[in-house]
Order: sequence, then structure tokens, then C-alpha cells
Amino acid sequence: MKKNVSKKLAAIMLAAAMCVTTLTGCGGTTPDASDSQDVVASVDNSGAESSADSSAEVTGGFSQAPMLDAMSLPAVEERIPTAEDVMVENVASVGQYGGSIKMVLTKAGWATGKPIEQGLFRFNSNGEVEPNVAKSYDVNADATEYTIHLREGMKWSDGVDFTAEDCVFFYDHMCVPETFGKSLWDCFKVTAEDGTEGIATFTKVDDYTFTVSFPAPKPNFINELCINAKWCYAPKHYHETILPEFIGEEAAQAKAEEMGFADVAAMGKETGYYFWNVSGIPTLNPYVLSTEAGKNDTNGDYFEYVRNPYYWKVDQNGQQLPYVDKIEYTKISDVSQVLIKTLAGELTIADAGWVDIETLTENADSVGYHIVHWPNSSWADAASQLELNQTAPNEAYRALFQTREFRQALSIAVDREEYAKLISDGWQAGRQACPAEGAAGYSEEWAVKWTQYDPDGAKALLEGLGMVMGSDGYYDLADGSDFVLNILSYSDSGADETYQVLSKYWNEIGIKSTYKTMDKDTLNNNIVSNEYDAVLSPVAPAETVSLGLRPDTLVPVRNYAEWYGEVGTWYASGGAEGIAPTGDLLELCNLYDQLKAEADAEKRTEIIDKMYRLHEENIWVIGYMESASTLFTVDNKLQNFPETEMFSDEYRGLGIAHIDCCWLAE
Amino acid sequence: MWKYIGKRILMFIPTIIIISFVIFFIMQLPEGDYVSSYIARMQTEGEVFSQEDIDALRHQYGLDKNWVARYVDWVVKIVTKGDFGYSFAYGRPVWSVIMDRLWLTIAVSLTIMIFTYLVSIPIGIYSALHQYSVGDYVFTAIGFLGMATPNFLLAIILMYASFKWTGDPLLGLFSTEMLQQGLHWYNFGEFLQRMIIPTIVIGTAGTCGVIRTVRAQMLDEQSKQYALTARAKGVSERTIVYKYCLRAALNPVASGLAGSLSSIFSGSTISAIVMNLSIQGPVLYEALKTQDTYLAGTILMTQAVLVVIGTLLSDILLAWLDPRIRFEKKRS
Repeated sequence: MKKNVSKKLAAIMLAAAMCVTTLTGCGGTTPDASDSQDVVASVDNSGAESSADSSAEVTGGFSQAPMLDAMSLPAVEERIPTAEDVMVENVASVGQYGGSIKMVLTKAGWATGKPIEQGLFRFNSNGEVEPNVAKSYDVNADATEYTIHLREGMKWSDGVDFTAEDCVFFYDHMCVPETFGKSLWDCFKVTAEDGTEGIATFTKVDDYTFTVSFPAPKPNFINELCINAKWCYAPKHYHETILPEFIGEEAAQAKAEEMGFADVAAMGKETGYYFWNVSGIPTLNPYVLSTEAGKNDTNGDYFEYVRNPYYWKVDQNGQQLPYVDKIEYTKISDVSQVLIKTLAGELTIADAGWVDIETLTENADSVGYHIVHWPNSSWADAASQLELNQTAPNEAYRALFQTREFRQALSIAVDREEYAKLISDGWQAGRQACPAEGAAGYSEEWAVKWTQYDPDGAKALLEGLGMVMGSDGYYDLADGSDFVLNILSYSDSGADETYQVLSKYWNEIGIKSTYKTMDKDTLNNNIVSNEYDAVLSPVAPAETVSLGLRPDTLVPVRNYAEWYGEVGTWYASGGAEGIAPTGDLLELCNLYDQLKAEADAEKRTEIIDKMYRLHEENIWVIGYMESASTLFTVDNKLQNFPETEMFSDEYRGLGIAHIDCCWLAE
Repeated sequence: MWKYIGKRILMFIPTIIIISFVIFFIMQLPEGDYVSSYIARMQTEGEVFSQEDIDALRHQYGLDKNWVARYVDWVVKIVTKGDFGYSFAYGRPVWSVIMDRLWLTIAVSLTIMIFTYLVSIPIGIYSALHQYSVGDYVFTAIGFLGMATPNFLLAIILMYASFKWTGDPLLGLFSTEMLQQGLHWYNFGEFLQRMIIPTIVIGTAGTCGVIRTVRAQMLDEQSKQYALTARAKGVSERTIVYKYCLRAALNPVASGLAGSLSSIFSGSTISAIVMNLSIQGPVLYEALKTQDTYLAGTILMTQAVLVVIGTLLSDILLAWLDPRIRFEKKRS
């Protein structure tokens, strides 16, 4: 089974990589912008492999969930888009209506949003972009104008028509004026060849068509849109009643207070961005936060999302989705309570940890759930990732960490085979940190680079760096001062176990180390203020489906990942703050700059590949073991929940499971 | 007496100002602020922030000012408008967050406190009257065990036992059904059932202290001259024990009440997290962790005010309980 998982992962990641480098990434039939004239890359009929197929015909009429029968609503045909435009999900098994999906969380946030989020476009299991809220799109030859088609007859959850106005409104009156506390996303920005920066313009063509045009080519727009702006629409009829631009600053302040927000900015953020967590806002999601008191407060101990009667998807039999009536969330104060509740059979879908794998496996049949393994985009097991701060506060340490030899020494000091056996009970294999097999950037040499166990070689490397063996049996710095590798991690990161094993190996080569765990927030504060030398199991572990899609943990774009430290601040501030990089790290930043400006698909691939090679040469992130799959426990009654999908933020976590297509068997 | 109380109340003002300043000072000591911890959390959920976003957030929350300026703003608003500020995490006024859980917290804490005294005072008396008896040893052992066992461990053990026997770990004060339906008379029994574990877990931690205090005091009092005199005069043992000795023995228990007021307000923290109790403690813990300054500050301030008031009340209680304690200076 493990083999299957990694094959699937390989396929997914390969596709994701292709997706970045092709013009539109839709089905692979799309012409390339660089060599085609008058390209019309409609994605209308490209969904052959995906479950969504707008062109599929529904035989017979449409039907609705029994719970809606009691409500005074227009007929189902009038609530969903026209028969030609309604989105048809070819579900694996046609379901029946009813029941609740029960989940727990510690804090509402994205956790409640991702499973139900509906982007204009979405990634499918093969890493390709497919239409979702949007019906299709066309793009012109030089990739400066995208025409996006919407579904006729589609409605907001309150029954108001969803039109192109809502998309244009979102961009013009919310994104650009930054009403929800987000600066304009990169997907809407473009840098011309002469270096001038410009932003997109949204224009309504008709009720169901709008264009997005750029002052310079923007070949990767649809992919970036999926990741940055995601949904890219907002209910105009709702936001016009609360935004200061329409009702005035004073009335908006009064409105904010009435809704219980601190100020207009807070209201803008919660209603404009995290809207699914605020009761009463129209959405296009399959489930809408309840409006009933006691069930509608996402800060409360219990709240629920109920079916959207105007949801615009049907199954192949014409049954309006979603199948399940509602999603129930119960608040827990500690993640360990997930296990208790899982064993008590109280949950439909729950996160599961490898530490509990035996307990979970033992009880699976008696409780009635099964364990689902999803591969993820991590470069290595998170707790087996060691990141040395390239901008460590201590100058001598910084210089040391910046040498490849030192990182190599720490890498080859470890017997990965033994290590992996000890840490994962043989579930995972030892490996260097690098993209998964078959994925973009992967190379066999990289996966085994600096993995040959060689403690003597490690010592020789350290001595080559001028380190001297002190009387205590540990290496000192060249000036004779003690060297101690001070490692930080956060509570429950898994590093408690991995450090115990790793420190033994480092001891053997004469590297003295200390280890301290702290609260995750506290650790992040240390990282933000650059007060750390090294982190095991980083807060931002190396992971991405592609460097071109989501570079943040591997390219210093801002103060984020532990290994590049203040270089991220340097890059984000345009060199005004932070610490300037040198050598290959500087080269990596330069390449990323080039990538942002490059329109040509082939050249983009080249640049991305160069970035991967820089990582391969430098091993800035040292990995000791491959990543384990992400686990869920899923109630056996829940049907259509995919056995294998890629778990990544790009694919919206649980979102790719398409909860609206899942149903509960008796 | 009244003059004394008036003086004490006036003393509240400087005390509370100093406390609030110290609270604010300590809260800003750790590196970072609410924005950095908020960003950390959202990043783990995959959200991306640019430097401008971060600066805008800091500005929105007023975190771009230095902490003294923020402290002064906060205090001025409290004094002039009664506005304790907003909780960053909840995006709501601090008091509305606190009120959400206040009544449940008070109910739970009071229940536990009453349980503690109901159990420990009789045991203390019994142990004193039957010093070195089997009962004394048994109760002492149980008491010490309750004190020595970490609450969270006891909670886990009891939840495990409940799970094994009934299939329900009794996590939280309300079941999902109760959360859906709200608390009514027909499910009040279930609520009481769910109170059992928290009461035992949190209550037993406090019983040992009270048992030992009452026991020691009672032993002391019983051999004092007034008790001996009363006994010599033929006063019944019952009167000596309950009317005289017990009254004197309760002095330290009464002065211990000073801190109770504040703990009734906040409830326990770690045990509450383990047992998923929706009371104030975990909110304070979370607020401190994420540097949700005004929420944490207001809870701590309220606790401090309650300690100050509690001290005054317990002093008054002591005076009433023990006529030997008087506030006015004796006129010679």
C-alpha cells in the first residue's frame, strides 16, 4: 500500500509541476502561450478525468433533500443554475440525503473554511486546475486578458442571483481598497519586462462574463488565482450594506459595533475574508453557518453549518448536493481530546496522529471507522527536518552554518537506516530532504545526497572548517570558544523523540547540542525576532507542491521559514531591513525575482529547475527521514470520502475530499 | 469599624494602579506580540502574509505604539468610559468574552468550593477528635493522595474509567446533544452527572489543606485553658467542640477565603483544559499565550481586584467570627 501511496504522490506532484509550467494547466490540451496565436483555451470540456463535468447531461429532472421540502422555497430547478450550466459531479457512488458530519476543532479559522470553500477554479486530484464556480475561461494570445464565464442562474445562499458583478465588486471594492486587511495578492500583480509593476483590471462583459486584463503577460494567472485569491467573489448586495465606501464611515462604525466587532477594519476582515465564520453572510458554499442562537458562534463550544438550499452542484442523477444535512463542530481545548472522541465513536472525520496509530488501528473495527492515508507535500518528515539559521545572531555561528561542509557533517553524522527504524518503527525510510519521488525538482542523487553514514568523514569536515577538538571531547570553534548547537522546537512537534536519537549521533562526531521546547507561538516569536540558532521540526517545515506555485518555505520571500531567517525580511522589505544574503542564497532570491517577471513557460521551467538545483547543492534544510502520510479517521458510514488525495494547502487540505459529495450510509 | 473599612477601600486605588501596571509590564516582556502569534497560527493553516499585511495588523491593533502609551490609553479608557478594550482573538469587547463563561465558571467553582468545605471540615474535626485512630490515618492518607496527585492525571484516570465502564469519557460539562438543545430541566441531571469528575478532581486538591488546618487548630484549641475550664465546669463535650473550639479553629479557614473570590471568578486552568470545561481558566491561558493583551489584562486585573476585596471581606468575617479581633485602637 505504501508503494501505491508514493506512486500516487509522484503522479500528483508531476502534474502539479506541469501545471505551473504550462500556460493554463487545464487538461494538458491547452496551447502554450509562447507559440500560439489567438489562443482560446477553454476548459469547458477538459474535465474528462475529473469528477466535475459541466457538460455532462443529467437525465431526468432534479431533486432535493427531504429537509428542504418543509421549507417554503422555490422549486429546485429555479434554485440551481440552468440545466446547461449546473455543475454536475460524477460521484463514485450516488448517495442518499441526511445525517450530520461531526468534527472537532480547537479554533475556527481556516479549519472550518477549507472543507467547504468553493473557488472560481479548483485543483483536481491530478494537480490540474478545473472549473468550479466559474464555468470556463478563455485567454488571449499573449496571456494579458482572461475571459471568465460564470454559470447562468446560479444563486447566493440567500437566493439572490450570483453574477459577474459580484466578482468585479470583490476586486474593485474589496481587494484593491484592502477592506479585509490583505494587501493585493501577487496573482493580481504583474511586472513588465521593463520592470514597471501593474495590477489587473476587472471588467464586466455581461451578467455571466467578465474579463481580467493585465498590462503585461500573466501566464500563470489561473493557477495563482487558485492559490492566492481562491474564491475571488463576494456578495455585492451584502457588502454594500456594511462597507464604509457605500454607507459612510460613521454608519460603518455603528454597523461594526452592532455586529460586535472592534472597528470597521475588524468587521471588514471577518466579513470580507473569513466570511464563513460569520453568521448571516450569503455564500456559494455547500454549507452555511447556522443563524440559530447557540449554534452560530464560531467562538462558542458548539456550532453548525447547514446545507445551502441554493447550492449549484448536482450529482449525475440530478440530486442537488450536498448529501449530508449539516456539519457539526464541537470545540475541544486540547488536541489530545481528538483521540478520546474518536475512540468514543463521536466523530465522522478526524485528524489522527502517527503516535496513536496502534491504538487507532486496534479500535478501528469495534468503533467503526477506518484510517485514511493521504500523502502530503512535505520534503521530509517534519520532526526530522533540521534547519540551521542562515542569519544566526551569533556571527561565528552564522559563518559556520553558512558553510556547506558544516551542514554536510551534521547530515552524514546520522545513520539514517537505524534512525528511521527507531523513530518510525519502520513505517518510513531514511532520506535527505527533497521533493517526493517523481515530483518536480526530484532527483535520485538528491534523495541520497549526504545520507551515507560516515562519522569519521563528518569529523574530518569539521576539522577542515578549522574546528578544534576541545578537552571535553567536543569540537570548539577555531578561536577556542565552545561550540554548542542550540536547538529549539515547539511542544508536541515530535522533536522530543527525534532529538534524543539525533543528539546521540552528533555527540559521536563531537558536536555538543542542547534542546529546548517551547510553545509554538513563543517559538514563532523567537523566529520573528531572529533569536535562534537552529530548529528541529520547524514551524514552517519545507513543503510545497511546486516551488513555482508556493515558494514560501523554500525561498526567502518574507520572514517565515527558519532556515533563511532574516533574509526573508530583507527580501520582503526590498533590502531595507533584515540581513542581506550572499552566494547561493542571493542567487536563489535573484532567480525568484526572474521567475516573477518571466512569461515564457519554458524559461519559467528552467528558472524553477535552477532553484531546485540550488537547494540540492546546498541542502539548506537537512532531512533525516521521508515524510509520513497525513492520517484521518473516517466513519465507515461515510461514503465517497477519497482514500488517497494529496494533503496540501494548495489543494485546500480536506477541501479536495469534496465533502459535498460525501454521504452517510444507514 | 466603618472608618477602617473606608480607609481600606481608599487603599484599593493605589494598590490596583500598581497591580495593573505590573500586569501590563509583565505581559509585554515576552518577545513578539499578538500579531506575531496570530500570524504564526494562520501560517500553519496555510495563509500567506506580506510585510504590509503584518504592519497593517499591528496598526489596527494599536501594537505599533510602545507599551507605556498602550497602558495609559487602556487605563484612561477604563476610567473615563468603562471600556476595557477589545480582545484581539475574539474581535469582541473584553467583557463580552468574559461574560460568555462567567456564570458557568461561578457555578462550577462554587460547587467545587462547597464540596471542598463540606468534605474537609467534618473530616478535620473527626481527625482531631479521634487523633491517631484508624479513621484519622485513612482520611489523612486520602487527603494527601488527593493533594499529591496532579489534578490533570486524576482527571485522565477518571475519564478513562468512565470511558471503560460507560463508553462515554464525560469530556466537557455538556454533551453535544446538550450543546445543541441548550440546558433545560430535562437534561439538568446529565449536567450534574458531568459535574462529578470535575468536582472530585478539582475539589480533592483543596481538601487536604483544609483538613490539616482544621485538624491542627482543633487539637490546639482543645487543650487550651478555656476548653479545660469549660470541661472542668462540666460543659458538655459537644458544646465545647462545636461552640467554642470549632469557632476558633475556623479562623484560618475564613482568612483562606480571601483568595477564593478570585478563583471562583477564574476557575481552574489545567484541569479545565484536560476535561474540556468551558470556564474562564482556559480563556486566560489562551489569552496569555497568544498575547491577547487586553483580555488577559482584564481577567488578571479582575482577579487582583477580587483578591483585594476578598481580603477585606475575610478580615470583616474574622472580626465577626472572633470577637478578640477588633480594628479600632484600644483607648487606654
